[in-house]
Order: sequence, then C-alpha cells, then structure tokens
Amino acid sequence: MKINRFLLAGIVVALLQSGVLYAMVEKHATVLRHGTRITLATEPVDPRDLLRGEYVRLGYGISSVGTDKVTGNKPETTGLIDIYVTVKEGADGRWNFASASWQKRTDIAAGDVQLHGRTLNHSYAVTNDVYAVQYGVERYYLPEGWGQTVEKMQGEHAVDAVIAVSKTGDAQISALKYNGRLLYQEPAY
Amino acid sequence: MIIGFTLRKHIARWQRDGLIDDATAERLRKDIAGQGVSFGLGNVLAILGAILLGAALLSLIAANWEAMPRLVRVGLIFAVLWCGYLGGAWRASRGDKIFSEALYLIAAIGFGAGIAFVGQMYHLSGDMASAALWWTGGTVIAALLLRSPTLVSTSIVIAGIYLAASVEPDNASRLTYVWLVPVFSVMAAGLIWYVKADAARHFLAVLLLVFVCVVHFDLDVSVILWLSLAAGLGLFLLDALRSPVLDDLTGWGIGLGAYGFLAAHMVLMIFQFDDHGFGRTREVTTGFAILALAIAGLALSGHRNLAIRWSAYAIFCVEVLYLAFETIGTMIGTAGFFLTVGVLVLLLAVFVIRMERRLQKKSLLKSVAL
Repeated sequence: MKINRFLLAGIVVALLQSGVLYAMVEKHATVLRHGTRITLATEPVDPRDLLRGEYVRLGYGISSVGTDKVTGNKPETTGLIDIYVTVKEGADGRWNFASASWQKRTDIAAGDVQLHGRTLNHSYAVTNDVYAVQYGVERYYLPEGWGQTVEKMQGEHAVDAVIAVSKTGDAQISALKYNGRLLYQEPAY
Repeated sequence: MIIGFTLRKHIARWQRDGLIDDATAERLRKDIAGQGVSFGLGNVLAILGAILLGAALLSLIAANWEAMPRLVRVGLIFAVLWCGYLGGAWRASRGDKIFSEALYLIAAIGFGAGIAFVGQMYHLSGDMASAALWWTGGTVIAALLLRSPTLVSTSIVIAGIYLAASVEPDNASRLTYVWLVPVFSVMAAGLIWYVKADAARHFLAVLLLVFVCVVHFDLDVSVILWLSLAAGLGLFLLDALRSPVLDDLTGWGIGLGAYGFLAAHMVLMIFQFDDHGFGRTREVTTGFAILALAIAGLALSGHRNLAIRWSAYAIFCVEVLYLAFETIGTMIGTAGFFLTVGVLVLLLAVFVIRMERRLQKKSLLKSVAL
C-alpha cells in the first residue's frame, strides 16, 4: 500500500505522543530496575485522613527535617525548593536520617544514599522548627481492597516501605513490607 | 444553513409580492444552495459528537479502571492515540474535512488524559502546569504536522488550561507563564496562518485577553494594562482609519479591530474596578473615558464593523447604568432608582435606534460609493 502524506503525518504524531507516554512509564521502571534499595519505616499520617480513595498516605522519619540540620545555601525563591537528604543504614536494616543539604552533595560516605526531596519555602511553611519534605513516595495507589488492610497495619507501626533511589536521588516505592514480610510488590510496568 | 432558511422565506415573500420575478428568485435560491455547504450545523454537530464520544470513553475507562491491569490501561490509551491520528489521517486523505478533525480531536484529548493517567499510575510526581505544558506541546506538533485547524484551536485552549494551572502550584517555575504564553501566542499566530485555522484566531484573542487579566491580578502590575491599552487602541484605530492596510497585512482587519476595541475597554474597566476603592471622582472619570471610547467606536467603525457596533452598544448601556447606580443610585430610594433607570433605559433605546438608522445609511452610502 502506498502511504500518503496524511497517513505519514498521522503515524509521526502518534509515534511522538506515544513516545512521550512511554518515556514516562520508562522513567518509573528505570528507577525500580537500577535504583538502590533502601528500607524506611513508615509512620501513620493524620489518622482521619489516612485513606483517600484507593491510596494510602505514607509518612517517614525523614519527612520532617530539623531546620538546624540543613547545610548549604538556602535558595531565595518562594514555592517548592530542592533539598537533598542523606540516609544511612541502621543496625536493624532500616535506613535513618544522616544529613541534609540545600545543594546536591558529591561527598557522601560510601554506602549512604542521597534522596532528592522538595519543601515549601514560605514564611509560614516552617512549623516546630522542622521542614516538611516530600520525596514523591508519600502516596501509594493500591489495588482495590488493599487500602483498609494497609491502613490498619500502619497503625501498628509495622509497615516498612522499600524504596528504590536513582543516582539523581529520585525515589519510587518498590515494595511494602509488614513485619518484614513482603506485603505488596510494585511491578516495573 | 439557518441564515439560508430565513433567506429562502424572504425570497418567497418577495416573489409573492412581485418585488422580484420568478427567474431572479430561482437564481437567488441557487446561489444560496451553492454557498456555505461545507460550513454549518453538520460541522458543529460532528465536533460536539466527538467531544461527547471522548467524554463517554473517558468515563467508561474511569469506571472500569480499577479492574484493569496497569499495562492494559496504557495499551488502551495508546490505542486511542493511534486510532485517532491514523483514522483521522485516513479520513483526511479521502477529503473528509469533518470526521478527520473529530478523530484528531479525540486523539488529542486522549494524549492529555494519557499524561494524567500514566503520571498517576506510575507514581510520577509533577504538577498540573507542567503536564498541561506537555499536552500543549504535543497538540501543537500534531496541529502542525496534520495541518488541522481544530487542533490549532485545541492547543490554544490547552494553553489556557496551562495558564490557569500556573496560578495554582507552589514552585520556582510558577512564573514561567509570564513569558511562555506570549511566545506561545506568536507561535500560534504562525500556526493559524500556516494551517488557515480561522476559528482559532478567536481563541487566541481570548487567550491573550485572559493572559492580560491574569498577569495584572496575579502579579499586581499595571505596565501590562498600559501596554494592552496602547495595543488595543492602536488596532482599533488602525482598523477604523486604515482598514485596507490592516486587512492586507493580516487578512483579519475587522476581527483585530474589534478585539483591540474590546481589549481597550477591558483595561479601562479594570482601571475602574481598581479605582473603586480610591473614591468616586476617579471612577467617574474612567467611566467617561469608557463612554467616550464606545462612542468613538460607533462613530469611526460602527457603520462597517458589526462586532464593534454591538459591543459598543452593550458597553455603553452597561456603563451608563453602572455610573448612574454609583453616583445617584446611592442618594435616592429604591422607587426613585427604578424611575431613573427606566428613564435611562428608554433614552438608551432612543440612542441605539437613532444610531442604527444613521449607521445603516452610512454603510449604504459607503457601499454605493464603492
């Protein structure tokens, strides 16, 4: 069949747009495939609002960072600003806060992992001398029916999140664990 | 089509009353039948149908979303994209100007939905503004490659969504819209010229008017108001005094003149709105400027630019009533107020009727002179 000008243009446009969508899918998959795995203990978030729709809200120890713990020059811009938080593996296999910086650090100790987070820079955004930091792993969409279960377990302080961290510090949830047992594994695709 | 219908009724009446002979009536009917077949209700219905189909598809997918594995959902979005663009291209290659555009539109909406769904399903962080920006970019490229007038309009609407979303999020790139929307507008103007997307010109004009408002109220700057006042007055006067020049340059003299006229009025009204707190004298002065501009519109362009004529009437009436309410309305009681408004509306009616008579005479004289 002879391909005419219209069909060629249609194919190019469809390829480009599906390419954009595929790149988004691949971005997620790459972090899961090649990222360093760290395990973080989750904390229950605001009990009344734990479950909204079919996603659970997850809080971590590193979700709040003391204002005196951050080094480097704080950006002047208002709104969301970058913050880099380094975590270190503890004796129980869970990772804990080690240090934080406004700029990406290249001198972190071997074995430590640096996470790229964001925090709101407004005069009213700092409460109790801590910055609320988001890493993009605070919400987790679950298959139907899982939400209630996870919510209950989370109340017992027994849910751990396994997080894949890319070299740039971007994080994706890789699995949820309950008392060390695998609860839910995130597929790459 | 609707105009043709009423025209045919008039022709039948003229024929019956002996104003025109049978041969002329027949020729007039043939002329109407030959005109405007490609544009009309069918076009509008096809586009509306496409939008409804898109909405139905989206709600169907949303309802069964949870039951489908993630990869199936992504496949579904890809299927909408490919069917829309290839199906549309196939219709276009057959010379179908209606369903090709409708299919393109479905695919473009599918692309936007795809960005949102994939972002949600794969836990990708990102704000609405950047998603809308990707959506705009994808649609602009599609409009360019497919030479689709509908997609040009669509991309301008999506740019409007981006503008609306930009006001919301808290991030450092929030203010990008201040330069991005003007750059996009220049690109869109080029696209409109290249694709011959005449309807999209209205969308672009409205986007720019909204942009001026957003910049002014979001950042509290008045430079943009003065700039658009100057640009609006310039376009209006160019259309009023040198309409052939503007028409040769842009091919859209009437529209540019009317939107310039509207832009100038919008700026003056924002001034009046902002002055509200400062006291009555300034507000009334601005009010007189608005009335003067409306009269100028009627006097200079009213006889040939219908858009300017009707917006001038509307603005004039609203402004007179507003000024009456602001100045004497607070001093007199309700009954007195209704009396005043009644008299004012009657005077306005007399004004409009007399104006219409003059303008119609003037436009007749003009067309005879031509």
